[in-house]
Amino acid sequence: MSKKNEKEPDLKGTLYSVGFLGTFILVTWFLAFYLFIDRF
Amino acid sequence: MHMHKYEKWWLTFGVGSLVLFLVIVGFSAFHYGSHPPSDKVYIDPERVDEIAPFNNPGVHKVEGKDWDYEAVIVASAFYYNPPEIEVPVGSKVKFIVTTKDVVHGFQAAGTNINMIVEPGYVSSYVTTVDKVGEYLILCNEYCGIGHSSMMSMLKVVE
Repeated sequence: MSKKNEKEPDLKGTLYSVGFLGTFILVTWFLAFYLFIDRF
Repeated sequence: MHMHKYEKWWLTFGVGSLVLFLVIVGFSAFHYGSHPPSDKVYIDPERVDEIAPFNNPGVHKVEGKDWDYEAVIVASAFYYNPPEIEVPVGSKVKFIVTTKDVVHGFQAAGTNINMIVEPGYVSSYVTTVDKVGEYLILCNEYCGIGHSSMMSMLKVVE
């Protein structure tokens, strides 16, 4: 049991890729929402 | 439990988005009163022509209601009665639709007017028509051989 000595894995690439995906989903969601609000 | 800090950021972002979207849905439901276009009103599909308001399809001006016009539409294979709806721009219109036979759709392309019309039920949608134009109304529920030619026109005029 040497948990204290374990190194943090480098997850920077993972963060960027999920961040990119999340931003894309948010932006497209708001574009569709704007269309809904704009129409009668 | 050990958790990577990026994982914490991502979970916060995910949960935050969920909360944001639920707030938007809740706001639109409780503040603007949006709901599915179902009236909880039942009608005998065999006697639609005899039952008000469907015994007189068309656009009618009404007084003392939350809306200015009622557009009463009867859908049946494969047309809408009336075949054309004309309303003045800026007026608040309640679209009231039912069907005499099978399931039909009622969608005005380019607008939020989009409902399923089921035999035995009445569907309605209230909106303020604020843009002049001609909007094609079409059936978006496959209803039979003439489905693709089932259409009507919503004309918003000055």
